[in-house]
Amino acid sequence: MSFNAWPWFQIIASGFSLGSFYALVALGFSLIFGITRAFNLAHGEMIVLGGYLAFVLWKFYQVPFFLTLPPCLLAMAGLSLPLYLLLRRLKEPYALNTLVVTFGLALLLQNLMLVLFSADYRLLDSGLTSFTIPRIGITFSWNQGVLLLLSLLATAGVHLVLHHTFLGKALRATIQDWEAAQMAGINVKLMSFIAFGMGGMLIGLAGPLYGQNMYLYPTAGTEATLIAIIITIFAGVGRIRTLLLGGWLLGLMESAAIFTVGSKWRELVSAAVLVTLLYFRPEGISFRKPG
Amino acid sequence: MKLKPYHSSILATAAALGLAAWPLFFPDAFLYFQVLGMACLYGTLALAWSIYALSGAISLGHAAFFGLGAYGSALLNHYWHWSPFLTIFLGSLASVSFGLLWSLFFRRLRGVYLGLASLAAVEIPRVIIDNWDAVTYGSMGMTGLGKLPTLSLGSWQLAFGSDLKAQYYLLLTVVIGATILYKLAMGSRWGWALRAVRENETAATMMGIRVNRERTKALLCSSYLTGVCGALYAHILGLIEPALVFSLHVSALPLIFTIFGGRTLFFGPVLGALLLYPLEQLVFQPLFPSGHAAVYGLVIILTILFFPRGIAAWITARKSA
Amino acid sequence: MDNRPQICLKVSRLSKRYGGQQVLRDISFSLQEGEILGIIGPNGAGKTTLFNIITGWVPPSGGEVVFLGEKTTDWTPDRLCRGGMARTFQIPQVFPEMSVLENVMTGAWFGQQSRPSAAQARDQSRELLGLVELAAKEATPARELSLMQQRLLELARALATRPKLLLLDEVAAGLSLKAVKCLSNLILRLRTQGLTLLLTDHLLHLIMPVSDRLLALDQGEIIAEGSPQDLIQNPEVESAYLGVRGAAGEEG
Ligand SMILES: Nc1ncnc2c1ncn2[C@@H]1O[C@H](COP(=O)(O)OP(=O)(O)OP(=O)(O)O)[C@@H](O)[C@H]1O
Ligand SMILES: [Mg+2]
Repeated sequence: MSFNAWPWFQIIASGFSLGSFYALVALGFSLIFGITRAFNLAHGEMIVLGGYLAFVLWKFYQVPFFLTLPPCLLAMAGLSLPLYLLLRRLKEPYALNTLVVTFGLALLLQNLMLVLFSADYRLLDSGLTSFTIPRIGITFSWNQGVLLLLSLLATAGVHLVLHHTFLGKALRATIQDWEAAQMAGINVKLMSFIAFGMGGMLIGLAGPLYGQNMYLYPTAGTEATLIAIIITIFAGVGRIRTLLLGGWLLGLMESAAIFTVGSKWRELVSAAVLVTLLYFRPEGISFRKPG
Repeated sequence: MKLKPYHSSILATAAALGLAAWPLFFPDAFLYFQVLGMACLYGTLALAWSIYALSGAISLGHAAFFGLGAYGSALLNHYWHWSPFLTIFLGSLASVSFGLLWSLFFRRLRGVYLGLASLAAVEIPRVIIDNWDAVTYGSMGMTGLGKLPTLSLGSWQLAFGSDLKAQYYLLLTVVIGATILYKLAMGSRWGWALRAVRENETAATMMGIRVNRERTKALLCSSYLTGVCGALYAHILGLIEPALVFSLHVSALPLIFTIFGGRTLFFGPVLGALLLYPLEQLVFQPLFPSGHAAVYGLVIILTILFFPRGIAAWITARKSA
Repeated sequence: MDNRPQICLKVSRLSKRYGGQQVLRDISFSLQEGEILGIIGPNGAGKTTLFNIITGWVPPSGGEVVFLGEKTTDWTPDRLCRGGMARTFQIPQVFPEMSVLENVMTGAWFGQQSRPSAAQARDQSRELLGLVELAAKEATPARELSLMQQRLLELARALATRPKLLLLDEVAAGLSLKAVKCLSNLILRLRTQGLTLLLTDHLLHLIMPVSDRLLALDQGEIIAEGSPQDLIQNPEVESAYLGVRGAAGEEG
């Protein structure tokens, strides 16, 4: 079988596309955390919710996959803003309070999705096919290609905004030192607002991509949240290239796990990686100078 | 107004007597036996969670202990046909073993990062049990587990498995016993040490308190009691599956009940369970047959918003010199 | 037993580096029972680091610490506390929600070698609170105290562990001259009860009158050692001090 003859290529190809997507998943989380110091444990649930939204548009309104993206982007950005207003009201210890509140939000969203979409597994079929490279017999699906391309585009876009615009400069300054930024005349509240808006849009992009590549079910979000946390801890905040590297590493590890011990053990990878990462870095997320 | 310590004891005793006495007047209120019985079980779970929280740790992953206790007991019962009364206590040792690993791996974690690690910790036993079909029947779960057995005291039959009233009294006894133990622990020298650890780890160390040892003791007690709750749950339902016991829901419940019930009262966690669980089951369940647990999410958000000091006192500062 | 004074603490060739920075270099000194040794030095000289190593908070990069005849270099802070060593921190570390009395009781209950009953612990704590003049605030939560009061509370709590050696890291910082005077009386009184003390301070008004001996630390090295009067006239000490004062000012 060609499949067995070329597992390495297969592992790497799916590792990279999965990994790029993971970087996209982490990007919104890390942007919000970096600027507001809020942990959003409902991050994964919001992605899954975005996925469901795209699914509904596609299934019941026959909207083609690519056209589901703009409404999802808008909807999730719209949902992030009330979250911002909610989290802004929390008191010290801020990080822990956001953790517990968004934990509650995750529970809330899971149950809402259970009501709205039932516990069935759903998959968004974008109508894209897979193709096999003739002579060497490697199968590559267009879904993976789209996943890779859009994830990289979004990541590059955020990188551009952060590093080549005036707004990005202000955002980076806020990530580095909240108080210094405030003293330098940066409107930190506005920056937080923007962070949630951008984060929400990234969630809205990740949602349909999730629904197109992985099964949607109401409790699927926990894993996405874990992935976002892992990569953010690995990379520190505000370092997009390291974030991408972290996504790829995790993606490769997972796809290696799928090809060696089977897809059912895949979920163990993210949990084990997070525990290990925290074991060696108990101080958690670092705020190094954004690179 | 500030409650004096004996006021809260009187209050708790009165509540316990009320809970024990009302079935005398409503002998056929089976729905209420069931719901309040489960509320007692969740109250015990919340107490178990709070033992760990006394040391300043917020766990988002107690479902791991719950599920392991449930599976430990269920497997012993399934393969060796031991009585649930035995397997509940032996099976929960699985939770304690996981607690030992937990304290080893998470020794240096505090606050938020301990919470994150605990969130991930649930996934490890879940995925293993989910996929170890040969032993655990995987994601299908197990059915037909032994129900709680019947106890005969002379001519008096206590059918804990089939008689909802007997079951209610059993669970009420469990929660009252756990509350008394919890109060004794809080008031003991050990409880004082935990309080010191919670309030300032650096100072506690400086006062000669073995911070890690005390916290580990708290975790082991907490994990065992949580395991017992999980095991009771499995045998009350008579079935078990990974998604049921290793869920975010189970991890969240004790946290929600404790935060809602208040942490300064020794019976706060139980109070939270006794108020919220019946509310959810009797009011929201009929309104929203699926997804009624959403109310818990709402409660936790509102509690923290409007009682901002809700969890502040649990915090331990990182060790620093 | 002979009545020659015993060595309470002996530090030999202690060094510490953080990354590339050598924070302490070859520190050796010893302390006799009942002695009061002051350590002076400008900001960043390594005083706190030295305390952290002696009390087991930070492992040294080299050298050893011997306390009451036992090598304690790798002991944990809590074990050292139960073994008779207590300290206070530059930034006071209190139990914020506990009352002042409960704070001190914690020390009495957990820090002593013998295990007193709760009632004994309470009585001892009240006595100590009288000593630092906080008796009137017994029931106040510690977080409501001023910084200065928190320092005194920390001192009382450290004493409640019945230490043989007490290390005070800048207890006098921020205290009024009058309070410093009270404190030095207290320290001298404690010494007559057999306590050995190690103090740091970079303003000299506490350390000068009470210390038997001073050690001057600069950039991780002992640059001079002697009686307070001798040391204060030492040109090297003066330049270390003036150099830093001129450049960075004093700590608030
Ligand atoms: N954890 C650490 N990591 C890196 N460097 C450290 C650490 N702790 C202390 N240092 C460095 O060691 C040096 C000595 O610090 P230390 O706190 O011991 O000085 P100090 O004499 O107590 O000063 P002060 O008078 O300000 O209290 C300083 O330069 C400090 O930057
Ligand atoms: Mg210092």
